[in-house]
Amino acid sequence: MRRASLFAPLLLIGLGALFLARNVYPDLRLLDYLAKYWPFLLILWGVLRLGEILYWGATRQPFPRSGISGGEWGLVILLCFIGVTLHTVMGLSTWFPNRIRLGGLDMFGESFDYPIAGEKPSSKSPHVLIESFSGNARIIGMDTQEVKVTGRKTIRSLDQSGADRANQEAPFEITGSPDQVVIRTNQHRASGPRSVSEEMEILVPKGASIEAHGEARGRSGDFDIHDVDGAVTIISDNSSGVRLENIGGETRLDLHYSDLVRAVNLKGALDLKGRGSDIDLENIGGPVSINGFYSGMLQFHNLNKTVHFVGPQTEFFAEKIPGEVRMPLNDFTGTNLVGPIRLTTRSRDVRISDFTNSLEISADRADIELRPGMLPLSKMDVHTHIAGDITLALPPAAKFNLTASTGAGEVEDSFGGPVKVDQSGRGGTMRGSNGGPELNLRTERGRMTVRTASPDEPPLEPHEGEGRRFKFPGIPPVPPVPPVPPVPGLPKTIDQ
Amino acid sequence: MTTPGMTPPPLPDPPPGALMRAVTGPLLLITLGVLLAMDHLGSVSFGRTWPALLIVFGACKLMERVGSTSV
Repeated sequence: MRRASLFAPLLLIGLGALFLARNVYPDLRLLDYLAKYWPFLLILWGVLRLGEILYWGATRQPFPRSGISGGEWGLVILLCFIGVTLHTVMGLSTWFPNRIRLGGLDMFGESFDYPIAGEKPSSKSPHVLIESFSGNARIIGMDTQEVKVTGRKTIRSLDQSGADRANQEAPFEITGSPDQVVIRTNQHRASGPRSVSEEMEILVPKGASIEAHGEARGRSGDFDIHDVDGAVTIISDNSSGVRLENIGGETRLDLHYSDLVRAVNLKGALDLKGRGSDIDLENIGGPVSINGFYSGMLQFHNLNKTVHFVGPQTEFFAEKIPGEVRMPLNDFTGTNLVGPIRLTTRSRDVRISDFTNSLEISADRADIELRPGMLPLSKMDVHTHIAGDITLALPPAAKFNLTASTGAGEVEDSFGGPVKVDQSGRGGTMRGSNGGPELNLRTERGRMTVRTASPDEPPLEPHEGEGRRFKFPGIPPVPPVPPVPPVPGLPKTIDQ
Repeated sequence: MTTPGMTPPPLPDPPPGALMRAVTGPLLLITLGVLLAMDHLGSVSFGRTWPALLIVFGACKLMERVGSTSV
């Protein structure tokens, strides 16, 4: 006996209600919500079906052969495909294959640890190259004239003899010349289905420059680099967290996927490419350029040169950021910024206070709140192309030439003075000039407000305090590994 | 046709294990939804939690077998 499920009619009712809500409230970010909360449809479906089955059981009706039929599983897969695609297209995450790690052999076998150690005399400012490897590296600049590596190699294998063989096949090497030191793990040489990863603590001369390559087929690994005066380059094809502190030279990071990039006290430029979650930058002396797909919390504090961020749906440029910018997923909050500032976004809400020089914002759907704070004002051009409320809070002594209009919505002026309100039809316009720069504000649909800023307004906080919390405490120092007997015929450290 | 004064015969009990077999699908669906929601809301990536699906499926199958052999 085939009984009709309640889910299909409820789904139709739900869809109808959503689209109706969208028509009644055009500002509603339906797709954003769907992209984020669609898995709850699956939960609802499962709970309803479970309830139905339990009800059938309680009323002694026969159970169906299977709770979810083959056709319904097809629908579930389709729903998942649409949901995940939407989630990706909306810029909320990266595509699945980068995130599912089946792990291969990682699910089986055991870990076997082998100590690694090596050192090589070097000049005061060598170029240290860490060849393609997987694992964690902690690199610290010291007053020394050698490159010294300690740590351990972890091999996952089904048995000890397989691990020993892999250890021989993938010897740790430190080689090169005093000006160019090469650290080589040879992990790719390990035969068979064994995974080799390395945890290294590397002490380098303070003047060293670092170049490190992460291995694509390896497990995720973290880089932690401190007190290095030269340039730092990290190119990683696997998942990496990167923590940099007190770096003197230019920094270039090209990361496949990073949980966190945290950089503090960089004297030179920072160039970051890739995908990932959180970015936290503080006290950067050189220009900052970020290009990629980041789904977590982005925080910038005290960046002394130009900042250029290019994401799939947001582009931001500022001359410098003496204050801070915080960007969780759907929000942009900035305080104390130096322009010219340009921000293009699809749907991040924007709140900026205490900024100088010109400001240009272009958004599709976004609520925008601006408090220039500092006088004199500069030119402003703010436009929401689909919908959004715009609020401008001006200091009482501000000089400006204001044109603020909404295509459909209320206009509200509590600033007074030269500002004249003209509410006509569905929309309205405010105009007024007392001899200052042009302030052009336009929203196609939404409320337009101009008000007087009071000096004791609370500082801006991001709307949603979400964004993934930082969970990268840094790599703990490598614990010592009991020495194993040397492998006959193969030194652990090859010094050429 | 029922004669007045007689109660209808009780329905037969469902076969043992049938309940577990019927709820396996919905439980898997709920687990999948919870894991994906956890992924999307930013706490734990689905790439890490997917083995929970195997565990739930295995547990359901186990209950099904235990149910049908213990009766």
